[in-house]
Amino acid sequence: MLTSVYNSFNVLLLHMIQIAIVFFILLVVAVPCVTLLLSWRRKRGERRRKMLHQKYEEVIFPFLYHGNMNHIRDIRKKLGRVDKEVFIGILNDLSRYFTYKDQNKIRQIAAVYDLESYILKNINWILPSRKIRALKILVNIGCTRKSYPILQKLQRSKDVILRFYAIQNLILYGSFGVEQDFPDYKYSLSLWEQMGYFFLFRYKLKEEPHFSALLYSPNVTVILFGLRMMRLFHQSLDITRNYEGVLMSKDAQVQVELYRLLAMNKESVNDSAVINVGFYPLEDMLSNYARLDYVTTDTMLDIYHRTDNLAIKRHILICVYDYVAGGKADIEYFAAHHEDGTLNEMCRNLIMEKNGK
Amino acid sequence: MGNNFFTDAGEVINMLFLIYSISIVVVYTSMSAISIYYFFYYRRRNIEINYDTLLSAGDAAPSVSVIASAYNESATILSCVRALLNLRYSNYDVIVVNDGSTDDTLEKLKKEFQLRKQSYIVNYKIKTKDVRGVYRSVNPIYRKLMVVDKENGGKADAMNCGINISYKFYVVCVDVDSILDRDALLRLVKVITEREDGRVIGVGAAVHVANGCKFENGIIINKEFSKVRIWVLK
Repeated sequence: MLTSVYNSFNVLLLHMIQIAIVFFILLVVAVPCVTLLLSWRRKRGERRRKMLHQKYEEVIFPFLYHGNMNHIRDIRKKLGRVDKEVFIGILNDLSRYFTYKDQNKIRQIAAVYDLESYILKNINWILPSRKIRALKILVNIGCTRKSYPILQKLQRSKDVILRFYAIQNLILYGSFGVEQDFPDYKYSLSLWEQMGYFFLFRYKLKEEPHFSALLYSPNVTVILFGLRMMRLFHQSLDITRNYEGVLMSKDAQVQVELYRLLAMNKESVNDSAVINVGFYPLEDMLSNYARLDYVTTDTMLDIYHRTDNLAIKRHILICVYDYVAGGKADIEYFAAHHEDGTLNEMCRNLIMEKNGK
Repeated sequence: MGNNFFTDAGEVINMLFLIYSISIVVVYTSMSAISIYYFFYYRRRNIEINYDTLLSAGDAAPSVSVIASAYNESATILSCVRALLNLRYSNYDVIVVNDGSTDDTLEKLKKEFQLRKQSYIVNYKIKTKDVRGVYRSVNPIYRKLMVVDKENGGKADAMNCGINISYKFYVVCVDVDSILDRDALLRLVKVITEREDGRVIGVGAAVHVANGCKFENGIIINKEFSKVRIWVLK
């Protein structure tokens, strides 16, 4: 019984091996053929796209740089029907380098061919990569009321990338207020998203919003975002107002960002409320802080005077000596002239150490 | 009796081979399925990326030290360091660790980049061979460059020394004769910044053989395969 089962099994196995060999031979022939065919198709497509690219650019560029935008409809007369993918590709590439003022020209050209409707079809696709690409392009060519419902839906999407680009679109459209809606934002904002929004605020908006409202958010990542944006846009933080939540935050990243923001406004750094440095690898933080271009010996000495810890004091002097512009001369001056006993002695020791004595 | 035993044993071995083959096929098929999933996942996240967002962020982008160890690299050191200084990233510095070279590597660097020895306290968090000196350029164009001269201790020791010197958040360890793509740091940092909690220990990158590629000032102009034929094909 067992032997007959094995015999029938062996026959089956033999058949399977025969099928595998035939399949293998077919593959050996089919793989190179398909590769060659696809390669030929790709090259032909590339050549065609290159030709169309050149043709469209010859019409679009004069309009963008010298043309009268009132005659924008002439583009349609000159080009007739266009390959929308190629056309969108050109506008998308161009808009990367265009700021707010010129961005409108891109939008006007996109409106001639109603590219928004074409992109909306892509946004409604199931394939996420196609959807995301369409949303990205929409940021660059601009959206209208037509896209509003789908963008509203996507801004609450669980997919971080969909949400990110949907919100960018809504900010440009004007229905997502940075000062009103971001404080209540419930998702985490990664640094990549924050940088993306920064790029949008800097180059695509007429004027940047004031970010101090974000510091009231219960979401730590939104507070960090607010602090970073305030520093990058040189907005000062008035610490006499009610920002205790941020100023006394025990979150290490918030503290570092707060220091960096306050370093822009040296008067604020003197406030004892913010000299609260116990929650982060102190040596690294001080070293990084001292390397900032706008930090001077005075700002470092403010921290020096506010701590009783001799190890921290010593590290501050090392940072001044190594990183702060003119810090070496200052330390030498303190070593020679300063009357404060501890500072004088520590500076002398540091110089001896540096000189290898 | 003997014949039966051999027949049964053969069938058992056959069966074992079959099970082994099936498991291999199952494992490879699942690996392929996982790779396909991650391929689409990667594509979704990286389609038409605009790295200018990171570039424009200035010092808000995470700081990176590129640590390059050099041992007797006199012939290529200058072009390689130039290439490292030309990377597209806003917040990075280059630490070249001269691992006790016996040729004129250090002299060439000093002359080309106008380096001067600086007093610098090295925090030996990781034990390494002694540092002979730390050099920085007097020319502000090369402010990103720091050259560390140390006793010879091998590549790992040189890297550890660079890590001791660096005060940046992340370090990128390369050989000084490695050629980085101009956007390499942007690509690496993107992965780090995408994490919402920001907790990333390390990021890897693909390494390619550079034979056949065209370079200008240490920058890859054209990526191609080597034109040298394999002897088997000749």
